[in-house]
Amino acid sequence: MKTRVLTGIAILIPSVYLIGWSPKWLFLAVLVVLVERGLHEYILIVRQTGFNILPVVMYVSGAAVCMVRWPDLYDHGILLWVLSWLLLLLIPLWALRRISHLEQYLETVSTTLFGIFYVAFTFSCLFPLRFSGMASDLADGRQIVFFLFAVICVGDIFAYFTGRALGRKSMSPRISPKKTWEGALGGLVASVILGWVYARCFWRGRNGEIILLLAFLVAVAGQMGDLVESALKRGAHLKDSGALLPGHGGLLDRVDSLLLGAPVLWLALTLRSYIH
Amino acid sequence: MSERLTEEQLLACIDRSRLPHHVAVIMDGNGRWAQKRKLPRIAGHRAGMRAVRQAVEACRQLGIPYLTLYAFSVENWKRPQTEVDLLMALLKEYLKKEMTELQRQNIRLQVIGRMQELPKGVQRDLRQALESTRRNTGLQLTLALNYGARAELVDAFRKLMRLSKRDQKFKMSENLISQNLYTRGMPDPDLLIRTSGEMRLSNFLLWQAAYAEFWVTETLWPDFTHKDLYQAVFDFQRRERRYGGLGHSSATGV
Repeated sequence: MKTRVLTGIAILIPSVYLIGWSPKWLFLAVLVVLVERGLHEYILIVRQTGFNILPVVMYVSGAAVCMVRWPDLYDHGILLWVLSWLLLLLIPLWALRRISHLEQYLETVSTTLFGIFYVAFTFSCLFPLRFSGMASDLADGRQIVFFLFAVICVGDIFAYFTGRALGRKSMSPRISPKKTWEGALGGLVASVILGWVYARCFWRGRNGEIILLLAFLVAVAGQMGDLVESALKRGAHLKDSGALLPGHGGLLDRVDSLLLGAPVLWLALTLRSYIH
Repeated sequence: MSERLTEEQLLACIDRSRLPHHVAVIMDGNGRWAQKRKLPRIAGHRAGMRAVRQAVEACRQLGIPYLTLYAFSVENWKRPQTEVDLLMALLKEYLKKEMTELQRQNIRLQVIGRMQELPKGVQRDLRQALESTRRNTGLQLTLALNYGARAELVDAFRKLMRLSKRDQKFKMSENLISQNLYTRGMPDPDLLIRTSGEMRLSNFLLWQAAYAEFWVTETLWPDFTHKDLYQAVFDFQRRERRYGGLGHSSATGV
């Protein structure tokens, strides 16, 4: 527990700086590094589950997905849309050349495509959230991303403590025996409250309902993200996704809530700007 | 020690008329292999499957009739639950993925150990695999699953005690004991290989390996290749030769 808190504090300051005040190129560079590390851990999980995968394709696509987010700021996301179609069409063709047994074809294509979406497409949403100026009527990019992190972190922390204090009914005993409905609810309530308070302090205008809705969506997505990652690890008979951070497990273990939370927020704000 | 020959040289030097009849392997070193690469321990077990293929293939190439692999011991239940679950899952995966290959190579699968204590799903898959390869006439691949030599002896003695109670003319003998071990019908191992440098028997084939030649290599199990097996057989043959001829100078002058 102690190492967990210490490591958490140690990365807090640099992370806050990176999220809030780093220039575009640095933010993107760190994003690419994290995505590549996440892909690396994902590849390990896939292999340990007994499936084949194309690592080089993953690493290259992962970097491409991240980098395309920058020019995409100026073209309403066309490039990412085109890239996703390219990947969907080209990877099955490339896999035909790269596999040794046809029995492995389906698993190779599936794990590769899923991984690129699950790690790269999702995590890279942080870039447009921070820099695209979407929902600028609500808040600037910096405050939007801080909001996202705050809601998710608080959700995680409160879910853990509420679970320990009041937890009785396990959510999915096969996947995560220690996660309880009571914990999830505690985390959810805390997230929404904190999200609302944060946005009232740091966001623009009087947008109470929208903030509540966003906080709720992000909080739920965060919990689901945790469950998804746990399911992946269970299939691989792994406890942690890696040994990157002392006391915390691997990178995926830490950002699993973000992997669903970030795209949900991005999606919500994108749809909102279409509706308005 | 033996000199460093290439794989082709080893194959050429091995005397096909004096091969060991039964090679047994203690597959040690999966955990260490993974730790060296900063991978979780279980990744080592998965990598170990590759080595199993290498060993099976090498024995088949040479024409060695019996190969026994120490896959899971009675003591292994003490390992963390995730590791045990993974080992069982790996076993099921191995049986599923390797079946076509085993059939193609005419390999007969056999199991020694207390199979009835394994998870039901694993038992089912094993019985299926045993049945479908039963009539194969090539290499017999024996997996020691939930095996312990002392447990095997206890089971054997239990059977013999029951026999002695029923039969007035019961006469204990070494042969009778051999007939009541899990390995009934198999020749005793002549070559016992252990990887990752440990020099222990670890409760493996204690009775049957009474006269086996022990061959230890520092190589960790996942790194075990055809060449290692050829080297073991080569060294085994040179040892025998030394036994037979006092004053017979070996070709390498060692």
